[in-house]
Amino acid sequence: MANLSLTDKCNKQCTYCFAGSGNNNTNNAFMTIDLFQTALNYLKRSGIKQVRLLGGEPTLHPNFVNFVDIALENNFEIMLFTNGLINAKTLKYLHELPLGKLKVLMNTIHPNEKNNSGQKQQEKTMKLLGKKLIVGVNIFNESQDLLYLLDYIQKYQLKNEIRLGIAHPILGKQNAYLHPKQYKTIGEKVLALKIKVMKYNTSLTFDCGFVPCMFAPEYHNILRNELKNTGKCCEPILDLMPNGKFISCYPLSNFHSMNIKEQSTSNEIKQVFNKQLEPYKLSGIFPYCKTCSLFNNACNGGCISYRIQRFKIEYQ
Amino acid sequence: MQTATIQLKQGIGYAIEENGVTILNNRLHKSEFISYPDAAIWLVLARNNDLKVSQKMISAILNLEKNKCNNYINSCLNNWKNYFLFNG
Ligand code: SF4
Ligand code: SF4
Repeated sequence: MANLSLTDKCNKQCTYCFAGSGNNNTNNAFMTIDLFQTALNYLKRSGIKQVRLLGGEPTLHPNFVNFVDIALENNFEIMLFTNGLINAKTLKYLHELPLGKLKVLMNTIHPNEKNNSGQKQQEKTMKLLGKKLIVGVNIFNESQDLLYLLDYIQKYQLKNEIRLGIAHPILGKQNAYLHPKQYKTIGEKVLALKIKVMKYNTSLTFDCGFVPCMFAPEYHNILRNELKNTGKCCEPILDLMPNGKFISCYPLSNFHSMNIKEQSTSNEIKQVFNKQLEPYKLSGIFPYCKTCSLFNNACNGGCISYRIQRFKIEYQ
Repeated sequence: MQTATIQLKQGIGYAIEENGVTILNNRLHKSEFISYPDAAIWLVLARNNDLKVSQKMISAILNLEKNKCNNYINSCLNNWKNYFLFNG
């Protein structure tokens, strides 16, 4: 897996933004066509068949449609990570692409959110993209409600899947994130969502950073499928930034990076990053991880960005 | 007489665990785990610059008389000389 960040420009201001695109970002960098082509070659060399486009808001790249065309011509499938605030022309283009070629993952705005500007546009996007679209949410605070996601699927006939992400701390930045102390509360909310979606065979997928102890053991049976995706994060996913640098993931963007080279493959870059992260893996996110029977077994100890912060040290 | 002081070297960090302390040497990209009771000594030394104050605290924690306690601290510090900087 590897993600291509087409731009850090964004038309939303999420306080939790991993990509550093919210709040005060003024960079507005765009990936060049040459770099995009180099990135596709890298994906081919690494045996990766899916191009995952993200940002910022990737559809704001002036060559976005062009990039998608090039990727499709090269027989890649597209996975688009978007905030859903997509202009009408691009939305029409995405609507017309064949279902098997494009998956869109949209992080939603809660219907009752105070600052819900953009929600109308998200509704248009959901309406038009239907089964191509998976709804998701980034959880950055324990009071967030999750149950509305199923209503969106039913109302707009979306793909029968919900993706949940946890907002993690970006090293060296002050983004909003879910503190591990809040994980258990969110675990209960995820369980409530699971019970609600079971009737409809809706699958829940977890992004990185979910850990088994978020969920009380008596519910592990209900969540057995979802639990397979917990505790195994921090194998670097690799994100290629608009400036041609690879990072492990956005929260670690200030920790390490590496320029893309003509011959580099995903495995080689991961090896280098993994070596640099190794010393931090002796600790988990909680003081009790080291005595947890799952540590380094079914769970590697949670988000490494948070683990690095526990050492309160200059990490560069 | 100048008071003996002690402090963590640059690039050394630690995380407190339920059963000890994980020490990180950021320069060498290495980490090490110290369990209790040595971890308790580590925490006192890492949090107090004045060695005399640390000695008193550790003697109280371990219920050891001064000389025995100082010997114990010295043997710990000998193991941890890559982590601490001494003055005086
Ligand atoms: S450090 Fe690991 S869990 Fe945290 S954001 Fe990166 S990949 Fe995800
Ligand atoms: S290792 Fe830590 S994060 Fe993982 S399940 Fe155990 S206590 Fe939770």
